[in-house]
Amino acid sequence: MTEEVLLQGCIKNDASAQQELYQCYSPKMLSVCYRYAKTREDAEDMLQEGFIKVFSQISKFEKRGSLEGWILRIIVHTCINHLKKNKKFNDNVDLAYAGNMVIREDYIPSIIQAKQIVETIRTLPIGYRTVLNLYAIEGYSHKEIGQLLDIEESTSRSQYTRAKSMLEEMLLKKRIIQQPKEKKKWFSPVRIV
Amino acid sequence: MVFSRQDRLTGIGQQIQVNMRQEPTDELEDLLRERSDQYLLYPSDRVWNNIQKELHPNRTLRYGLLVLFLFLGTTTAIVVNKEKASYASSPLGQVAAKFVERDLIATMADGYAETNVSNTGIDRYNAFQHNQAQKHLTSFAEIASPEQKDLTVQLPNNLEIAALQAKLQENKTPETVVPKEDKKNAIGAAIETVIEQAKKIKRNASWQIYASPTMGYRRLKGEASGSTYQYSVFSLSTNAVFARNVKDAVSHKPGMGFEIGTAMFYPLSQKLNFKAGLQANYNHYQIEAYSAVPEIANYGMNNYAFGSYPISAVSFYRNNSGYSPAILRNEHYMISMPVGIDYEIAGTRKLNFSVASTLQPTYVFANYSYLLSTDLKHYAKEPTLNRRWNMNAAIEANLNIEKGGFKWSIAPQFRYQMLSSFKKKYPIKENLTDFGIKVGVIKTIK
Repeated sequence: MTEEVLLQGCIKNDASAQQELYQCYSPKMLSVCYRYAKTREDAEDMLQEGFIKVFSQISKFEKRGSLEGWILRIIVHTCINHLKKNKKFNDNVDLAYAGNMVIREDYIPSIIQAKQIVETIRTLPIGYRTVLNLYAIEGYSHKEIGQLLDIEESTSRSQYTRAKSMLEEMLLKKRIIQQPKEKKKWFSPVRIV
Repeated sequence: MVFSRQDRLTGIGQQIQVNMRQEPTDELEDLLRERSDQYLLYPSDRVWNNIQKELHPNRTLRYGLLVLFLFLGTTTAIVVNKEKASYASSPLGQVAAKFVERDLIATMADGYAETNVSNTGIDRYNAFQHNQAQKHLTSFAEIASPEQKDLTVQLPNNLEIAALQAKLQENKTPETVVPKEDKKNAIGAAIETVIEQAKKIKRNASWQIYASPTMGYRRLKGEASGSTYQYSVFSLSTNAVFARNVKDAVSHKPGMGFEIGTAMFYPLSQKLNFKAGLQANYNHYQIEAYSAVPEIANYGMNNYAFGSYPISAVSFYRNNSGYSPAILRNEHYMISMPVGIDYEIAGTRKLNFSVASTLQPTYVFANYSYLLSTDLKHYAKEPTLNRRWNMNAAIEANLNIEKGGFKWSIAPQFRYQMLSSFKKKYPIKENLTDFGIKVGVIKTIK
């Protein structure tokens, strides 16, 4: 079934088309949710909420970009919305509370690099990892991150700098990436451990 | 399945955000993005099952309506059966039963006496009389109580008629064998007695079922919030396009709904009834909005013991601008228990006019509402802000017409939701209203 047929089926609220679209995009979207969530269960809750929004609003999709990108944006917004309902997130998204966070190396598994990186990101303090996810992976600007998270743009920028630095340190310690010998480049090409 | 940077920036479905990131990426960011896209997780079946339940709730609604109609059907059956039993045991029913019984015996006795004249026609004549008596019994059996049925259920056969006639001859009294010319007088006198008795009987409880098409609308109250957590490129003070008062900011129009229910009336006096029942309501109205890219809509602050956080939702609709107009439907499904009084103002038993007022504790079991954000710029669904329990008040003016043993009523009615549809933490208040023409049928329970 082509994406266009799937899309039309979903617009008609056809359950089989919805299921196929879900099966196509849910693994990718769950991994996105997982990067923001505290637990796997939380990630599944975010995914569920996000896909309900996707299906209920799919008639609004106007094909000016990819369907996947549209779904991704909804899922990311749903994740942020979910996080904002968590008091801990609201406490830690502010820079003042993030400075005391420690690196929890014991949480980093060493299976494959993709999983290691995602799991390492998830060990970052919640405020750090949210900004890092939004900026480095989803491609949001600091201005939009500020609006999404109700923080200053400068705060987002500082959070990101610290988050990236902390993540780099963790990745180096676990040898997921290598320290560049020369300081010209930020780090050397990636080597799979 | 790897997202390109271009896809992330421009493949967002609807339009490019003017403030989307334009800075170049470094190698770590490229690595993070690439590896993140490679990492896939497969959700459990629970997720899809829950999505299905949410997307196709009609099944739940169908079951709910089925239960309601079963309830109404069962109630109807109980009331009708009670009505029959009540009639059979009432003074009128007792008298009717006596007439049937006495008429039957007299008929049988007369028939036997006449057959003595011609023995050759006895079987044929007795068969005719037997059939006539059986017709009496059949019609009586429908309204008689079990005790009364016992008196007449055993119709004598031809041989027993002789014994019965002998017994009648021995105890011949005006009670058992009535001369034909006196029968009419006796029946007339008995009917008069019944009517007199009926006049003395107190008014009885009655039962009503009703349905009504309604026109749903709402009353809004509140102002735009100037708080810092609002999501907007422009602040309220610099954006004069948006009105501050919610009534000026929204464009909405009524929608059709319905009401269906049942109620019992208990007489408190000759003109005053206590009324209680159960009813289901469907209310909806429409909002004119505009489709837009997914954005965050804020709905105020949620308070914890040691702080607060903004309540927000993903919005697909803007209030004042967007790429295409959209009509949003806010729908409410409710079950309520009306309790109130009904007062007869004027009229006769056949035609009268009454007014009624009820308070209705209400449970909103499904609420599909788009909420306006506190900056009055976005619409989104935020179920956590919906109030489940509410209180409605209703007034109605009834025109009642009695016909065919039933009282039919037609009543313009107005229903008002006394508490806001949303929780207190949401600063905009909404009170639903319904105007309808109720049609009902009332049956008195004796």
